[in-house]
Amino acid sequence: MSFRHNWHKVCTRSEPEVAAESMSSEKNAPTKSKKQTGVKLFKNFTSPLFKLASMLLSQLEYIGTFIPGFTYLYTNLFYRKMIAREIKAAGVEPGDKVLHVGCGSLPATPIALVRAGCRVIALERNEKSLERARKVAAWRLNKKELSMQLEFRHGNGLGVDSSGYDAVWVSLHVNPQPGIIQQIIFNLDQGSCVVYRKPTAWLSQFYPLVTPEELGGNLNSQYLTGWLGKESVVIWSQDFEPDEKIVSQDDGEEISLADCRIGEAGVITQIPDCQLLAPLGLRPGKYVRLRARQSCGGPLVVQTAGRKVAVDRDLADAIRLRRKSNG
Amino acid sequence: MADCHQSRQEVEELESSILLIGPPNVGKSVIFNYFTGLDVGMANYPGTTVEFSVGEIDIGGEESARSYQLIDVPGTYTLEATNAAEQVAVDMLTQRPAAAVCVLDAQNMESSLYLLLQLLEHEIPTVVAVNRTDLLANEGMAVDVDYLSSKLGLPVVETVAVEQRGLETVRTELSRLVEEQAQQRPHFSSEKISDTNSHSRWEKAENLARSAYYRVGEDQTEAKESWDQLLVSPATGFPIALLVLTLIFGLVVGLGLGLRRFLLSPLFEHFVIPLIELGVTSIIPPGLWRSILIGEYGFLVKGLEWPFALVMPYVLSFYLGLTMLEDSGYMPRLAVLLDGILNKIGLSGGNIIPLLLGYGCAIPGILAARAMANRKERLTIAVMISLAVPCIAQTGAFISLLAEASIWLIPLVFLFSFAVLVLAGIILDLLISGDWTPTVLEIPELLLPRPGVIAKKIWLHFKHFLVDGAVPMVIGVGLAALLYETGAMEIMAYYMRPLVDGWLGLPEEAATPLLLGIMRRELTVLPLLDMELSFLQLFVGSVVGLFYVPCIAVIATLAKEYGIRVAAAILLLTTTTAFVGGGLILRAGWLLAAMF
Repeated sequence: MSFRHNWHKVCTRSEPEVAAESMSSEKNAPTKSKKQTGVKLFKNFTSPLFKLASMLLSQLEYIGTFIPGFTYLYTNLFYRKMIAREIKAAGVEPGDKVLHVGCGSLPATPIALVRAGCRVIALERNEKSLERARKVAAWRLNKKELSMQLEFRHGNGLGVDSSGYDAVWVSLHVNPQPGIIQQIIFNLDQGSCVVYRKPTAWLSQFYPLVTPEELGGNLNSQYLTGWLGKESVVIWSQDFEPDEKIVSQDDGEEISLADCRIGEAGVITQIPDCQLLAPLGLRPGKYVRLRARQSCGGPLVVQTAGRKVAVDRDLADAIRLRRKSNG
Repeated sequence: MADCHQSRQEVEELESSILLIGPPNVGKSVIFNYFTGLDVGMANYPGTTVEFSVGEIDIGGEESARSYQLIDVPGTYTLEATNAAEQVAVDMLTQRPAAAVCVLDAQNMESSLYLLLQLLEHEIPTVVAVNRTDLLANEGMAVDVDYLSSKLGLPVVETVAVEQRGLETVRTELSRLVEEQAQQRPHFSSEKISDTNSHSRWEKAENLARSAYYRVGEDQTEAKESWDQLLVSPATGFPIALLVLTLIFGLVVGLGLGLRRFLLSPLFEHFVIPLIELGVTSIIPPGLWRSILIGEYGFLVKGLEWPFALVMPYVLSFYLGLTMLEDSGYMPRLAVLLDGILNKIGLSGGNIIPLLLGYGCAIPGILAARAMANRKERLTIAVMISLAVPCIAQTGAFISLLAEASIWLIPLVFLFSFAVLVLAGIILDLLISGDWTPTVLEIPELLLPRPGVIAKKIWLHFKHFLVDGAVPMVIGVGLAALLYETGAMEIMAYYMRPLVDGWLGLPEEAATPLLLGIMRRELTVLPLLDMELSFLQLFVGSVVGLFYVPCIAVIATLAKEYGIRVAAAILLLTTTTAFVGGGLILRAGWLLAAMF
């Protein structure tokens, strides 16, 4: 996702406040159509990298299902621990009714949920993948489980009604993930929850970043850190109101830049005494976004308004910022 | 700072000079080269210019044309001087130059304007050039120069220096400004700039920048940003860095080898040298002079073959690779990736740039270290480059020497040099005391290198090689021929026998490269070519050559930068390391041979 595009979006929102403080000398400014306004909260995620990544992944999974042992290995490597953690955090119990949006051709999540005793509806919009998923499930589950606990449905996540389920799982590469999640939360029954996988680190380049804060309201949520660039988020339903204003509200907590997650942004409130920081756009009142964290105690890569800057970790630790939601 | 004061005297009278000022990596050197017709270094990373350059600029109308000194000041984010290069800029301002061209970065107007405001406090007549507007246009944005001009009361020109757009307008505005000044008119008409504290200056810069930007179209940088994210995230960045460096290394060695084997060697072997030999034998009778010209160290044979057939191909291929790394903006990304690891040996990520330049020639590497924030890092880099970073000429010589015997010797020698570099870093970290400066490094935008610029830079490096590389090499070979043919070499070799033969296990003639090597680094290696050395001797010879005296020009540079004592210490260190290391390796080799 282009950072800069969203940058302007966020900047536009905060502009009136900043401008109000210092308008006095700017009365004579020529009136031009400055920057874009009227931005939607969520855009369809259409980055070419995302398209390529999800196409490659679904093809890999599809082809993989024809290779003996691949399903087993793939599931154990990438999904087993993650799903176990999610099931525990979401608190689903045997007999619960669960929806999984975007099961793909290798339905590791539905199979694990069935094994945990849930009744699962697995949704997939690609018919070819769905056909394959049925076959894979047939190898991995017994007849009783297949007929009683698992149902594959052809359909798009955007139109789905999430009411009547105890929990809803959303895959990483459903598109548009933000829109689907928002809709699911909106329709969710009281006490139910939605579990989705959020990209972290390098994966955040391929996938959109959706955080509970961004979805609006005071959502009760929990992060489960995984590996290989995925992170699970569980959100419980409660008085959910989609709130666009949340993006420009200044009530975020204050944290150190070094404690940010990759992709997280905020407004600087305090910088340490280092003359190089200010000219590079690291000044109080400025927006910054954490782009990468180097290994071996190396610097953090921070995006400021016009440039990318690598900042030593200790310095970054002394930079305080008020967290803003991701976009 | 001694060198700053020294070099300031070189600029005769600042009253008739025009300063070119701006943040780092904004394109000042490109503008400088355009106006002066000179060729100072340009690259896509901050801190390319570490020393100011002076050239002539002609301004004024046709009847009143006058030439001024144009001074390319090292890039500075602010006038609060945080390193040696920036201090130069600040020093120049207090000398009351005739005018200044302040180059602003269109993508970073806020900080550029801050610098401009600081500059204006010095009350120097200024023309403002807003450069890199093409890159801003890719983001769908533009800068309203008329607005800035009316607000600041200064001429403001939109430029794209790499395409020479807008530069003539800068010249016109500059002429007008200088003329006006001659007629004692005030140079800035509107509001008086009297801000003196940084807070109000920032506020002013922010307001100006915010009002000056306007949107003209769609942002087209999305895809590039996605790729960039992969380059700077460690999980993907390291594999990519390995791939990039391998590709560049492959390009340098492969292209160099190809040029040599298929083009230059056949050309020299079958055409140039036979022709010279024919010419010489027909003119000069057999004897001392003929031998000097075409004998063992034939001045016209080896003196041409070595620099042009053996070394030149690698010079060309190396600078092709380096230029692509420089101009794409990849080097700072590499610096950021490696910063954590380099910190462990007392260096910082930014040091990778002088080190990489050092693989071309030690001198630009040592000079580039000036952009480093503290003396400790600068000195460490200088020692490391002098000690164990072979210049491209020497690398070319290594490849010629070693590839014949065993292809594995080349990576072996290079791995050994890496190991010594790491060791040297650790030891120097303990020895040299100094403040630790936290890394704050700007990562410039990724750009596709322009073929024209690449060609021009390779041509410049080639010219530089002809003058500063080939000529000393030819003289060195001539000297060798003279010593060899007159028998002086034999006498010297006799006296150096205990060292060369006894300690290093090399044949007696190997005294020659040790003597010549003082002049040029690759001359410690090239004479070994025809000596039919064993595997172990080749390795010992290479290691001695690698660590041995960096060439005369490097020692002179070191003396200029760090003083004669440091230069002498480095000379002693490298020579001792070469002999001690070479001798120990020989004995280790014997031990290994005895064991298996």
